[in-house]
Amino acid sequence: MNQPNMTIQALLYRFGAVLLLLLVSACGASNVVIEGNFPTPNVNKIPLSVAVIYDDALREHFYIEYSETGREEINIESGNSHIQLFNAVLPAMFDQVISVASFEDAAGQNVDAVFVPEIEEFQLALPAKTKLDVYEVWIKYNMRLLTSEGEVIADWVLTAYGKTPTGTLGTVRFQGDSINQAAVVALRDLATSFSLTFAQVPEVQDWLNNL
Amino acid sequence: MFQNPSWDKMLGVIRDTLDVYPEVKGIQVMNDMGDYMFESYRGDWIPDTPGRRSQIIQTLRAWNPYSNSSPVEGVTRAIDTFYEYDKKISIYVLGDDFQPGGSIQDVLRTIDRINVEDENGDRLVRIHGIGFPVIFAGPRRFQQSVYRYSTLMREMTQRNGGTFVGLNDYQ
Repeated sequence: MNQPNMTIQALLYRFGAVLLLLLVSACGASNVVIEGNFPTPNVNKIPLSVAVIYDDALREHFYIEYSETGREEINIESGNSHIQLFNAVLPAMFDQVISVASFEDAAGQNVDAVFVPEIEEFQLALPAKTKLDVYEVWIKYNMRLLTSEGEVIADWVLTAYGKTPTGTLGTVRFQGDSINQAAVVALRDLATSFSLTFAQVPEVQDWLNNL
Repeated sequence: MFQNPSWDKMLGVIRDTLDVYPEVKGIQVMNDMGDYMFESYRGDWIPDTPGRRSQIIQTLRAWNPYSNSSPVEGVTRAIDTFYEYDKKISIYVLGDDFQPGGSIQDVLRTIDRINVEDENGDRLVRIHGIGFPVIFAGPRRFQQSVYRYSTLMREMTQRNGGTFVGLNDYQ
């Protein structure tokens, strides 16, 4: 509109362009299955034999993000990725790790302890709601270490956080990809904090000292 | 831009376009720079109600936004801000010129990079174009930009799943 070589008359004759955007439809809940690669941490192994129980709540963990009107917006399935993560981390931390279905199975394996991870809370922050330029995932875990008879050795809480930038100019990302990336960062955060702080949990520390 | 002789025609086209969609999930209006007509709805969809539709037309009647005569900034911002993979979005570009100096090929490449294809070969958003022959009413030496706008939008809409309509009258 402001080209210097144009006459006033021509300026009056043109308006450039106006954009009308229509959100024609929005589908029901979209499904995001968290997938990622989780490296094995390089930590000193503890000479213990540990059984791990992934209960159904962890195996089939899902989180539903609701819209402001209460409509199901996004369904995030993270159970498999959590199992994949612990399967990468636990063998690096302990001499022997076996996966069992129940405490009865663990009792027959003569293990030193049984580890039962649980997801207590899962939170998702979307740019459309926070007005920030990032997707964020926050997960709260309840980690439990028990004897094969089911007596509690240690019971502690860990949180994990991950974020990823939204598409910037010229690099639009699919929302599902962004959520996945944020969740994978959170899971890697969990892997780091779990493997580095396990032996520093006071109850675990007492138990290890008495072995 | 109320002094422009084609503005009423443009309002009519917008009204007709909205009428084609009796109910949508949201509406937004920008200029070709990506500036919002309703700043209070920056980054958000305007809820579709009869009152809002009426307010959009009323506000458009007296809107006088800056234009650099290239839709690339507006289309880019629209996609970057509003695209979500589970939503169907259509962009209507209503314009009358694309000034000499800007490269049509560069604009198309930029939009191609932003409005990428999904796994089914569909673009993120659909882009339609409507051309107003306003500048034909002016001196001939300025009319090249009308043809450039038509060429640009015809190619852009074809690549992005939309349709270009060149109007034969601007009033």
